[in-house]
Amino acid sequence: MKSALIIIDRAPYGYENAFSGLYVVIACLNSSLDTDVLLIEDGVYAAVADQVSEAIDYPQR
Amino acid sequence: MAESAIQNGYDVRIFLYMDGTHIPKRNQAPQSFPNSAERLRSLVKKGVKVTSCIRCSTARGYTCSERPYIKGVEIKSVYDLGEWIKDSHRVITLGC
Repeated sequence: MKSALIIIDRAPYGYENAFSGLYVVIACLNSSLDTDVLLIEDGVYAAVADQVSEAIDYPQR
Repeated sequence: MAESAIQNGYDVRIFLYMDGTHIPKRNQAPQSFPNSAERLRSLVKKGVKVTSCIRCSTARGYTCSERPYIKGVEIKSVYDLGEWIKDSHRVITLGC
């Protein structure tokens, strides 16, 4: 495949999914795939500005 | 789905991610439904390459013991998934 679309549909902090999805994005980019991310449903929260994830010991997204 | 793909002549590879990394655990004994590790074992015997994500497996304690998984399941990085996606014709994502 030449390109990949990673769909993130869960809110960032209650579930592992958004975090792990972004790892897949990094892996795809590392393999020179043309990679896009679609934030859908509660996945849109992953893009909210000024998140303070360190307060709950989570990496910044 | 994997068995059907093999029967139709496809090469099949399975990458286990997040909670999927529990599937190949040894010595599972479900009482009222099929043993998923055994089903995975039969796929491995048919030539399916199965890899488990090292970050997810480590988080769930599988990399501490010597043989956590059934034979044939490799533990590798998510970067290997990137390479798999790159040289696959189709990628199917199951679960959530």
